Amino acid sequence: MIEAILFYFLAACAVVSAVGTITRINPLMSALWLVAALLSLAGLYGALAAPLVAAIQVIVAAGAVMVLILFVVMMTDRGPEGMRPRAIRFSKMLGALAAAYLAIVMIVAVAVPPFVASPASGGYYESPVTLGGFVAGKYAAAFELAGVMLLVAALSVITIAKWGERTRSDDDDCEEALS
Amino acid sequence: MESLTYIDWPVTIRSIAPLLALLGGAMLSLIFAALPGNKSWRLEFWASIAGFAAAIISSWLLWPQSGKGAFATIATGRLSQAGILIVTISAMFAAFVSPSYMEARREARPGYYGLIAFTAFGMAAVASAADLVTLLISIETMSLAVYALAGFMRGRPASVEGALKYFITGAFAAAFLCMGIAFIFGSAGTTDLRIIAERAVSAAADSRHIFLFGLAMVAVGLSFKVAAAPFHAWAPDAYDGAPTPVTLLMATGVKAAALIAFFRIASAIGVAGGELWHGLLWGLAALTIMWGNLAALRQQNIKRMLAWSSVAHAGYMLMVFPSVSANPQGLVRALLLYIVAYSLMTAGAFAAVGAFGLSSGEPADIGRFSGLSRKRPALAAALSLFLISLAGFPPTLGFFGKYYLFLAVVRAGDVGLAVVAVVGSVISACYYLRPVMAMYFKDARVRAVPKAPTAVPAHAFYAAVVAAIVIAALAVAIFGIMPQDLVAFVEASAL
Repeated sequence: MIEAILFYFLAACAVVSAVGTITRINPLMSALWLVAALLSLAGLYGALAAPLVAAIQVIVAAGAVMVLILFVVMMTDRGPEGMRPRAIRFSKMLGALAAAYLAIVMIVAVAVPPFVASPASGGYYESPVTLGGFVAGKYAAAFELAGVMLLVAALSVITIAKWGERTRSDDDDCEEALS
Repeated sequence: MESLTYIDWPVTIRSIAPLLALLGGAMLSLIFAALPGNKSWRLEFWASIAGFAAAIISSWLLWPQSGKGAFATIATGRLSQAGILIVTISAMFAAFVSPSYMEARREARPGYYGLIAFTAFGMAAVASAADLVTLLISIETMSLAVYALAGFMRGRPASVEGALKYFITGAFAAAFLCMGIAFIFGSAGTTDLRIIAERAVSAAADSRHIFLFGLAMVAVGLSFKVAAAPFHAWAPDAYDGAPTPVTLLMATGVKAAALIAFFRIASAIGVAGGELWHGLLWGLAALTIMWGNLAALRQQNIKRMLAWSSVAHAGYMLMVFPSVSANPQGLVRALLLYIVAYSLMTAGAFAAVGAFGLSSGEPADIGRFSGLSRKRPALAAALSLFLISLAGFPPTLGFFGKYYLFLAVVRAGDVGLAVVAVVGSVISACYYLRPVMAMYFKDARVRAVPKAPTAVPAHAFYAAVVAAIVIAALAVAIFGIMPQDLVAFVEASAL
């Protein structure tokens, strides 16, 4: 009972703060709402008997990644009005798609009995040992690929933003491509 | 459980040698790109070409062995090697066409060839992923590099706009894919495609809906990547805005890799989808064919026309999926042959369009091709060959690929779908022949302008463009007349 209450409370927190993330005009507020969303997700992981994943979520996503995002937000230094037109143009399109998606999920959820215990949920992911075994064993290739992916992400951002740039006045285009 | 300590390194390295070669080439070109000076991109270019060549050779040598892979998450069979060959050759075409194109527009900046090489690595990983987690990560590796390439000419609003649209919808597709994988994992308990295939047939009734929902989401996510209607809205803008060599890469390699990954998933778990899967994919393929062809009919810009035509071709290739469980061997052969044919002729067409653009800016309007046959007869002939092949006229490779594909689809029982595809092909002839008519039967309308554009720019790397077009044209023409060797290769790859 208490688990169910905790689950739904955290889930509601996650949804509300996710909505907050995409509706704020001030990017700093968006970032703070994102922190709240990530922390509620960490709580959800904890409630789903995966304390290690919860801890990693707090350390990596809510900690390190958020610091980076806040750095970027503060360095780009655009006022709330500068963000406005683009936010609205995309939010309508994405909102319609998200609504359609949620409708499908709800129909499925109502038509089908709630999630039965799936073969996956057996408390496999509680210990760092198991996780380490996966990362260095069966999923070693995927793990290495993820490293390449991060390198590619950094390279992509650098080539679009700065590399080989001459003095130019159309900096706005770059920022639009970046954000 | 196997772990890194007990890995037999020589065997492991050998089994994924093509991937390592591509990664090595990419890393090397990245190092060269960081060198000071304006010409560092030349070393970068050659490093990426070296990586492609090493990957092609090692993959060609590995192909006959079809050995067991060292990793459970990476398939190293013949299908993977064939896929790696296709995507690497596509990337090589893109790289060959690039130097003179970027130089002519003063956009030759460091990082470009590194990104192409990383895209090639990502595509090769997508084509050989045997696990849904590996698939997701490699798709993202590929896509992240292509997003940046699409927006590489950042001074041009069209380029930035196309890249941004591609990026936003691509991120959305990744979310679908990720969600679908989570649902499949929730019901099957694993992300390993081979194990899922075993469990899918006997899936318990209570988790079957979750499984099907996940399957549908994965199909949607991959449909974004292959630009299948109704998930294709990004394609025309992104293809039009991107530099033409990048458009070439997006239309050939990226699409081929996504289709091979799609086939792996479909043949593993499509059988569990039953009638629902059949109906869904049937509708998707038919809609994509008709939408792509009808929209291409209205285009005045040749890059947009080719973009819409690549949507239509994605539809042709999607035809193998509805009945995939009926005859996976025969259908994958047809799919592979069509991917090879489509990649060659699309690469050739974009290369020719890019080469035309070298002398006269971006060739926006089809009307500007008027009278090209007199100014540059060889280029006009090559472009006509590719367009005729795309339309599917004999005796080109395009005709043979279509024939083989439609036959396989009819044999699998989807006669209605084959009829839709034939109707689509007839429509496509109208728009493919328009540039050909303009080149051969119309005079240049504006007499005053074409003074400057006629001369071919004297550029060191123009030979590379010519080489790319000649190779593609020879392949399209020769394999169209004598397809035996190609068919033998494709049939052996399906094993």
